[in-house]
Amino acid sequence: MSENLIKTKRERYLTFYLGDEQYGIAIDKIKEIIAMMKVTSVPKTPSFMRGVINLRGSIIPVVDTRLRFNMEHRDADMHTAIIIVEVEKINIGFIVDRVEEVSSIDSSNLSEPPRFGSHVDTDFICNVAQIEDDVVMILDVLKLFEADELVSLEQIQQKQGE
Amino acid sequence: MTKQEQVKAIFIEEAGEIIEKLDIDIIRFEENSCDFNLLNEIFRGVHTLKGNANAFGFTRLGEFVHHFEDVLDHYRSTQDSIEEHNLELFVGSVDVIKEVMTCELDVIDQLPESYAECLEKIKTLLSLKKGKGVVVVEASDNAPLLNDLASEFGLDCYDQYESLVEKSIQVHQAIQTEGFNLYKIDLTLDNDCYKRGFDYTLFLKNLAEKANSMESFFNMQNVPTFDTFRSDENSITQVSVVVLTPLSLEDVEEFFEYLFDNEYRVTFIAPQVVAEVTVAAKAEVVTKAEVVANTQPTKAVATAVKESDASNGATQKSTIRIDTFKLDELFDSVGELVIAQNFIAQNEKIRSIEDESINRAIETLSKITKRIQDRVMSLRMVAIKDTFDKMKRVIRDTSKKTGKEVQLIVQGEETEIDKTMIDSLSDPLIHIIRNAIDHGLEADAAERVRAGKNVEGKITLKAFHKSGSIVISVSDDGRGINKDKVLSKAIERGVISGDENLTDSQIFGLIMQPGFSTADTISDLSGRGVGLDVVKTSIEKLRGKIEIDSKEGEGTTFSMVLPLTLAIIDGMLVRTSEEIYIIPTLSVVESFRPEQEIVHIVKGKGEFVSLRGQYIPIIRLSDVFTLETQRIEPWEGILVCVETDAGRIAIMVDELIGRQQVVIKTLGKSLAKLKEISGGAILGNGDIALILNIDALRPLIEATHV
Repeated sequence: MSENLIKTKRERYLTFYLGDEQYGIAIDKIKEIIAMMKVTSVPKTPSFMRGVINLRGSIIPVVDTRLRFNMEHRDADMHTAIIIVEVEKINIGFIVDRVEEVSSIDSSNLSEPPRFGSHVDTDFICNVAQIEDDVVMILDVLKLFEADELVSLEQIQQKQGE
Repeated sequence: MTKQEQVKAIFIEEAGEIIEKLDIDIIRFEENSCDFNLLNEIFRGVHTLKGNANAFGFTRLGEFVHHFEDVLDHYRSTQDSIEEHNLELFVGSVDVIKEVMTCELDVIDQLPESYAECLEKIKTLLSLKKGKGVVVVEASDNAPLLNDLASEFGLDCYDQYESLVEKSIQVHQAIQTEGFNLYKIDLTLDNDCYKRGFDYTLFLKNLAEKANSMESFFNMQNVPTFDTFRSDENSITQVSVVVLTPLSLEDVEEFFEYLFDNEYRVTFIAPQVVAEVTVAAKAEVVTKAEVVANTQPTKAVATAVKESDASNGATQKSTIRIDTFKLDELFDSVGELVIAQNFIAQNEKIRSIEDESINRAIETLSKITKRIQDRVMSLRMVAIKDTFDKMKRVIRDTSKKTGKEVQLIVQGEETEIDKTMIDSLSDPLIHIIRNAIDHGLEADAAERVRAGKNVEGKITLKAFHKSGSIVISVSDDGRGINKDKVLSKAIERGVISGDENLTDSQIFGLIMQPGFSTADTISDLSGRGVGLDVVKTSIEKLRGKIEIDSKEGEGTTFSMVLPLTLAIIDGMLVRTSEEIYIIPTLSVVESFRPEQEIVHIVKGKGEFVSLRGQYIPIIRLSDVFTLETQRIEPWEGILVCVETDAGRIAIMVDELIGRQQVVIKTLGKSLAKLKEISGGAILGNGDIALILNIDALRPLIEATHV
């Protein structure tokens, strides 16, 4: 077993679905997964910024991942979940359609993201992994977060300027 | 952070505290220079500072403090009365200490100008007081004494030294009673420990105060003869102390903490086994003793002593330092507890159970929660006394500088205020006080006498609670503010247009507007307003406001109205569309449903409501926040009139829900740039309501009507 560890570097990822596509986030960044709950919308933010939730007394911003990736809005159902991710000491929630599982992915199964074939902005995808027959797109949460912070607010300011 | 850095950080903090205290004490001493207890207190502070400074290589600070200490020591021991100009020198010295400390911290090579001058004065004073031949006096005092001791106890032999210590331990063990611990302390010193600022005999003296019995042994083997003896060099390198005290090991070690770790060793000596102790307990004692016997026992002994602490209930420290971050975390958790408790108390299902015991349990829970909340809140609160004490210094200095005699009256210094606020309060307070003395009081005594007042100006510093807020006020009995002059100047500066109908407090408020006052001055308003806008901004940052009240010829009062704590605000809950927002009650002037006649619509400019001759722009929250809602007319909704930086605005909402104290939470970094929202609060039912930043709303009116 220890031999195994030395030879290959396996990392664990939480996988989830948006529509038919499967995504993964490195598990060490994930604080917890909660069921969909009431989101208070915050004015003057882009539509993918769904608002804020009350997570046991802390107020946490929540991003609608579907809208973030320019996918269609979909009403929440019993599978809808919020993944709480810690990015640079800040907690932020991502609404996803369905959480799948935690899977270990061998570093040898990871490859560069393709530049085509997905309506998802490839900037947020740091790797593509092969798990048996499925393709999992590994997200770079940091980029997802930074980009949303910068872009959205710039947009607001521009609108105001006009 | 390495251990060394940690220690240094602690030193810097301590030094800061000591200097702050010196500052206050020296002023108190100046008022009453016969108070030798106070002088002792100052001396102790200076002494500790010296030790610390030298230990961390702050030699310039150490040098200065060293001489200052000598002077203080002279007065302290002789109880000579202190001359006026020397008192002035003392006050100046504390200033120099403050400045040098900053230089040392920022690693600035240049010393403050006053350093050399002040040091020279102190040295002169010292030589004047001590007379000639200081060294001779010391030498003749000390050296024969040393020789006497050596011959009396015959300590030339090292073996005897050890056995004497052993014997002492046995003697002490014999007299040891329950509740007292026996320690052996070994000091291994080098010969330059004085130069590092340590006088270990002082440590021993301090320890002796807490001890029931103490015996100390000095190994004089290496003490040189009188001819080669140097007073600045330590020649006793081995000291052993046997002490019987109720203190714990940690407490004993604390006395020596300024020494390096390898220079001292405190060993816990287990008590002699008493007859009634059981066999098992005996065994334990033996193992403890074995641990003690180990060569590097500090840690192991510490645990052993802790155990014995628990059994004999040794004395505890009365205060502890806690990271404010930890307090904040605790505060957050209690906030959650309150919300959870509210949820249970208000839950329909639980309420419908109608069971006596459950109701009682819920009631008890709510009582306990409230009590915990109050106690946690009180942890953050400190009396404003320290800040007021600092102001005494400001008043003294300003009074000297302006040549005006000032009498200070302080009221309510026991009023408690949030610790996080206290630090940001000093600067505004200093500013207002300087203003009060410099510009508030009449220019000279003659003018005051003409007005039938005492020559001495009166400044009143007051702190008190008023309807859920804390008010800190500074009053002077000076000439007051001339309203007409303020008005004409404001018009001249373009701050107002002149056709407004302003109330008195609005007029006085003008002097805090940026750009109101400039360098060119008009006689009795001179300079008022310089930087007052800065004061206003910093108070507003604390979610407070400033009110000015003045009567011409009688005086002026500046009142800072502050929230009880930074973490909680008093908010007005309003609903618009489906959303609930919170408007800080402090800025709310009034709220009302307007008559149709007073609402005016100006094409391209938006809606206004005319209120007592003033036209106030109406801002529809649903518009600026683009909320989906059925459009209603202003006379169908509610207008909440608020005071903003840029004048009054009327916020139009659908409904007023109520007034409530809410805990402010940030929305996180990603939403922090959102100017219109200053934070969020969690309501009793667990929902989030956003707190409006009303100052950012006004610009939005223009935006929506373009």
